[in-house]
This record gives sequence, structure tokens and C-alpha cells, in this order.
Amino acid sequence: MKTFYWLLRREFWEHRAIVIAPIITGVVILIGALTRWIIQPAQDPTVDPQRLADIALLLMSWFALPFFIVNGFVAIFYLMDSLYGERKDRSVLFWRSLPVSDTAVVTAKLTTGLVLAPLVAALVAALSLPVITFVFRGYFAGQHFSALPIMWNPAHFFQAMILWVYATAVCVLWFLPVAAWFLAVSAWAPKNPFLWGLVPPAALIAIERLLRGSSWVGDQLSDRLQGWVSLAFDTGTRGADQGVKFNGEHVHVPANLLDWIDPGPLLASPRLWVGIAVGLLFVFLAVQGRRYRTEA
Amino acid sequence: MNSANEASGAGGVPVVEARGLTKTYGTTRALDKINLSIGAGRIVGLIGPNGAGKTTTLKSILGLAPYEGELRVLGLNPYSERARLMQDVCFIADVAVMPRWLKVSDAIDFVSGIHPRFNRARADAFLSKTEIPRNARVKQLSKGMVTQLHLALVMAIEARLLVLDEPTLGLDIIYRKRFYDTLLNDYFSNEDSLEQARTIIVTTHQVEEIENILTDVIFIGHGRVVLDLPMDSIADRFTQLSISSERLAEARALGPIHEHESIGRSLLYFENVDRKRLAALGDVRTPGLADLFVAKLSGSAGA
Repeated sequence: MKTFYWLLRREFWEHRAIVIAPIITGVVILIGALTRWIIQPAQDPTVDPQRLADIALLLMSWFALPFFIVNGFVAIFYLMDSLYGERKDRSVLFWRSLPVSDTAVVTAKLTTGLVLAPLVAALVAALSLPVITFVFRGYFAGQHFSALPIMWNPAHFFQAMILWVYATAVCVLWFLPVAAWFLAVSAWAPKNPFLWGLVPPAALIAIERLLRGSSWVGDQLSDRLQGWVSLAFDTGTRGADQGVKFNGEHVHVPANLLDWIDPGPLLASPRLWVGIAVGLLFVFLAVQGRRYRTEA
Repeated sequence: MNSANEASGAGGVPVVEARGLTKTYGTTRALDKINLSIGAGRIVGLIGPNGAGKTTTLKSILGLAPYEGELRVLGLNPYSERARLMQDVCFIADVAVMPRWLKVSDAIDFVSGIHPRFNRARADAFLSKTEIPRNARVKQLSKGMVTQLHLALVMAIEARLLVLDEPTLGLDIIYRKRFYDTLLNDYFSNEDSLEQARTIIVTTHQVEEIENILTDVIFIGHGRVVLDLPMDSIADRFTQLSISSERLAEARALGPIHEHESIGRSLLYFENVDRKRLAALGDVRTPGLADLFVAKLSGSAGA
């Protein structure tokens, strides 16, 4: 356990982007919010407090999305570089001179990229949200009501955070095969793990289209990218009429964000379990690669 | 106690035991059925030309590469039990392998956190004798400093086997000298805190540098062990004869393993030939490791 703790800390020493990228994301959003506030202090007399509360709730629940998207790119780069980079600079010889098993090292890197990185992103999002809400309240300055208590509902804030952690847990399970694939590529690629990681899937899609005119592989990959949303969340279309109009579409706003949480269909889906099995196979291959390919 | 401790106990069970160790890269045999036995407390020089199989041998011993044949290091299978083996073995494969982004203080924290035999006070004491700033990253250190840092980390590990592969490669002469001084003073003579003697295996191109500290020497050429014997028996077995050219034919009749010209005189190398007989022909002495190496390797090349 102590060894694992140090293995994780080591990853954060080397890959500071895991922490810096979400902070930059927060700062960019904050600057965006500030400039918007300064440029156009809105004076919309028709704004309805209930509608404002609904929008605030939706913004809260979706607030972590840009952080998670940025984290996705950071994690892909991190995983692809992790086992390749140490071979490239030959520091793998230093790391392997220490009494730590290759399984422990690969597990630590997988944990960092797949679990800790999104949790850090969620944490930075959670810290940014109050700041940005506070800034945004100025957007409604001059209203006949005070916007802040309507926009800032602590219960909703905590619901949002639980929602993010739930989304992270779902993504850990769902994206295990993707993360493990990048790790395995990182462990085995003779050069340029980015090409090795991305070209084979693209080539499979192209070959299938050429030979059979079908798109099974592409459909699988596309499902892997987004299939988890409809499986793990119940954003129900029921009562769409009670929703708010958001970018021209009616969006259902629940009283409690936790109503969206519905892991049943996900856990019952063979797509999840096949993915996990494939993921474990890639993890095994990554461990073998770390053992076998000590030189780049 | 565990099997590793029993294996290198006082009973003379070797620290490294190889039987028919073989390694093939494609069609080339880097190691061809090597037999080795290295006892506890020895300082062994593994000497051979580039591509002879030195590094391959060390990699096998350290569990860094798969191999064929039988190999036990401290009683363990190095490839499948590397993580456990590394509790008792430390190595410097190349001075350049410290990760560039690592901070000096973090490096100490890390090794201290994961290595059960790491003596932090020793690492600190070693580092305080250097100019290395604690908050610097490896990439900011000079090459000599990186070596010192790596040494500080490795020397502070109370390991039973230390493996050094070209440890002084690319270092200037002052650092090289200091490296071996440190090795002997801080590492090898520090047996009071250890129950068992430490063993060192070292490879280098600079044979002269390590000649005086070795207890045993192993020559490797073309994937085979050409010579494997204690340093103190070299004098019994090998003689270098320096003679003028008129007595050359007489000396050659005694079957030298190698000869070369040096400033008007011929140098002939003999194995298992009575030194008194040779002394009658010219000046005799015990050959240095470098000369002996050339003599043995050029002989075996023709074989």
C-alpha cells in the first residue's frame, strides 16, 4: 500500500499536466465569464427567477464537462507516454532497479490516468464552480430580485458533485479498455506510440469499409465513446414540457440531480463487461510489455 | 529465513549461479551456454569486447531480459522474481538513466518510500559531501552530479549484490577515480551493518581502473566464458615474457598463447608454462589484465 502511494505520487511529479490542465480550464472559463460580465451586463427585464434557477441547475450539472473533456486528452497523452517515455529516456532501467513489480507499476499508471486524473478534474471543477457562480451573478445585476441565492443552491451543488463522481466511476469502468489499450501501446510501441495507438483502429475502420462496405468496427468505437451516457444516466424525456428551453431544445430539469443516476442498464449491459474483459487483457499485455521491452 | 538468504549463506553457495545460460537474438547467439558461479563477498570484473555478451549476461542476472538455461541469483529466478530480487540487488546500468524531470529530494523520498533496505541517513550523508542542490531536477545537474546522485541512492541500499555496467562511461578521470574510491570505502568495507559480505559485479572498458580492486575476473568473448579465475591465481597461471628477437624461436617452441611486438622486443604470453623456464629466456612478469585480455581473446578468436 505504501509502495503504491509512492508510485502514484511519482506519476504526479512527472506529469504535472494532470493538475495544471484542469486549473487552466478553470481560469479560461473564469476569464470568459468575467469578460462577458464586463462587456454586456445584461438587463433582461423578462428574466424569470424559476427559469434562472433551472438554468443554474443545468449549468451546475454540466459544469464539469469541459474539465472532463480536457482531462480526456490529458489522460490519453499521459497513458501513451507513460511506459514509452521511460523506455525512450532509458530511465526504465532506474525504475526497474527498484523492488517494485511491473504489475504494480502498470496498475499505478492506469489508476493515475483512469481514476485520479478525472477525480482531480472534478475537484478543480468543484472549486471553480462557486467562484464562477459568484462572478455570473453580476450578469443579472439590476434585477428586482437578488440572483445569487437562486443561482447558488448548496443542495444542488452537492448533488452536482455526486453526479460528477458517479460519472467518473462510470467512465472508469466504461473506458478501461480504451485506457488499457493506450497503456499496452505505450509498453510495446517501437516508436511514436501516438501513431501506434490511433492508426490501427482507423485502419480497421477503413479496411472494413473497403472490403465489406460495413462499419461494425466504427460503430463499436463510436459506442465506446458515447454509449455510456444513455446506459448510466436517466435524463428522461418524460415531462419534457416542464423543462426549460435551452439552445432551442426542451431539457428536462429534475428536482434532484441524483434522479439522473441510474446504473442499472449499464451494469446489465454486456457491452460493459466485454469491455472490461478486453481491458484486462490489454492490462496484461502492458505488464508483459514492461517486463519484456526494457529497451525502446 | 527465506530461500534467498539460505542460498548465499556461509556454506559457499554462490550468489550467482548460471548453467547453460543462453540468449539468442534472431539468429545470433549473444550468450552460448555460459556457466558461471560467483561466490558471496567477491568483487568480480566481467570483461569482454563490445558485443561479447557482457551486458546480456548482466541483463539476465538483473531480470531485465528473458533467457534460456538455468540461472539463480540469490536463489531466485531473476526474470520471474525480479521485484523480490531487487530488495537485495541494486544496479547502475548506465549513469545516464536517472529520469531528467526527477527532483533530487523527491528521488530520495521515493526510494526511501518503496525500498525496505534503503538507509536514508547514508544517502543524506553521501549527498552532503557533494555540491548537489536538493531542490534541483536531474536535468539541471552535471553528468558527474547525476552519477553522484545515482550512487548516493544505490550505495544507501543495503543490498547483497551490486551490479555495475560501465559505471564510469563518459565521466572525466577525477570522477572515475572518486567513483571507485567511494565504491570501496562506502560500500564494500561497510560490512559491520550487514550479516553477509557484499558481492560486486562490474563491467568496464577501462580494465586498468578496476584491476586493483577485483578479487575475480571473468573474460567473455563471442558469447562464451574465455577465462574465469581469482585474481591471485593469475600469476600462477600466466606469464608475460619480454625477449629480444634472437631468442624468439626458442620461446615460441614453448607455445605462447599470444605475442606482439613492442619497441624492438617481443612480448609473449604463456599459460600454464613454468615461469622459471621462461625466466631463462628473458624478463618475466605477471601480465596486466588488459594484456591478458587481448592475449586470451585474440587466441580464442582464431579458435
